[in-house]
Amino acid sequence: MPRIAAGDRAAVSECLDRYRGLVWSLARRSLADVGEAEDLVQDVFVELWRKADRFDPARGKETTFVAVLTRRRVIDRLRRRRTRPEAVETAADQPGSAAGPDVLAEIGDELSRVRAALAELRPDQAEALRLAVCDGLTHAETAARLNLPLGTVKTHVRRGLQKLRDRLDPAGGDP
Amino acid sequence: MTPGSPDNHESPDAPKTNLFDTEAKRLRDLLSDHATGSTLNDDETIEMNRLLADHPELADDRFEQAAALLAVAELPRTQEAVPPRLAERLDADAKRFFADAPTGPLTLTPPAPGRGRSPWRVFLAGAVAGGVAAAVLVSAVVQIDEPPAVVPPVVVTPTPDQRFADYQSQTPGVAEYAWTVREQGYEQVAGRVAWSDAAQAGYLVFENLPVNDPGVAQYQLWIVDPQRDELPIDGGVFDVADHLAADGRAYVPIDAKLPVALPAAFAVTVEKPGGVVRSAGPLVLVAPTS
Repeated sequence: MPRIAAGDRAAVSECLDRYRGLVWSLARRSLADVGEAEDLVQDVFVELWRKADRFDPARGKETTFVAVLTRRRVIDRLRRRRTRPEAVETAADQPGSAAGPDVLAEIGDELSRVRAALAELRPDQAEALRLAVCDGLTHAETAARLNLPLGTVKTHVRRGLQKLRDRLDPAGGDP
Repeated sequence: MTPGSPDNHESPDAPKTNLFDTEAKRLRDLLSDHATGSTLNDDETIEMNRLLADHPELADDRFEQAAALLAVAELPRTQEAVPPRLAERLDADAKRFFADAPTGPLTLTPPAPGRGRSPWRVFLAGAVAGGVAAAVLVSAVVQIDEPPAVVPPVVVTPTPDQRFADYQSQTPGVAEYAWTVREQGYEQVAGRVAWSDAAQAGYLVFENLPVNDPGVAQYQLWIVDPQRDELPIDGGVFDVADHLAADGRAYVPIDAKLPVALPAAFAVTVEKPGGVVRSAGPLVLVAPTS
């Protein structure tokens, strides 16, 4: 990102090579429409290049920066369209995630901490969080899916995410 | 009344602290909802914006990071590859991105003698109309070729208040928001923020804002825009003395480093010279937009 911010054209190609699989995977996980997912990937990269000077390594790894920005745009589209992820076609699936192993390795420590925190949640709490974050379900949809009261789901998702957040940054938890 | 007496109910930081804790906890809940993609209703959105405006120091993007990392951790083991057509479009975007960016000093051709618009005004109008591009333009080196005219051109540098008047008259959709004082010692300060979403440009107007010593501290503007980011957008650093007009007011152009989607508030802090990426100084002024 700093090289892109400095106007290094080669860095833009490297950024594409490195992250297009991750951005594509995150987009396809939540958006059923292939064309919409492709548009989103394009939007994300243009925004990444424009915001490259915003990347601050003290606030997180570059891969996390890319994933956060991608999720923001996914959420924007889900809010507008409320496209359901279960409609995603899997017939064209190929072995191996499109997100490259080197990209995942960069945030291996963070992913381990997130998985550990997730494992500490009660099963229904973890499932509520997964459905909300990974599948893009609303709280009401999650409540219906898990047959839980809406308020319980809301609390599960909030407390679950706060636990993950505090695991990533133990010093920044509850005041 | 003496410290510790039963009547001494007002002092303490305790009620203040309790209120802070309550608001901080509520903000954590709202930031969690926002990060998980839950659609906040109007009241919740207003509440989140207000809390972020009141406590910019509590802005926290770790909730979004946690959600993003969970989404990555839970990606399926099999996933379709990036379509070749998308890869081609991305490569084309990359080429276009650099083609659109200025790569060297800008050269402005001066107007023909008698046209009446100074190069500065041409630049200003272009920058304002250019919206986001203004930030790029003002940071570029502007080189003005001398015209082969018999009479040398007279360039009148507009004063800060004239620039603000130009901005108001030439910019569409300007809305204004009043400052509220948040720090002791600044009670005398008044003024407003003028901002245009359409032009992505604006001005800060201050009355009686203490002049800073640039070698010791600078004022820094932050734009709270939760629709775009949970962290406030850097609106640029400034020194009061550079923007003072004859009427005693300071008129400071806003230098937003990123496009602004839906500003919830504008805030001014005091920071070390050069400014900071994340605010560490006292919050002195806030102008909520709702």
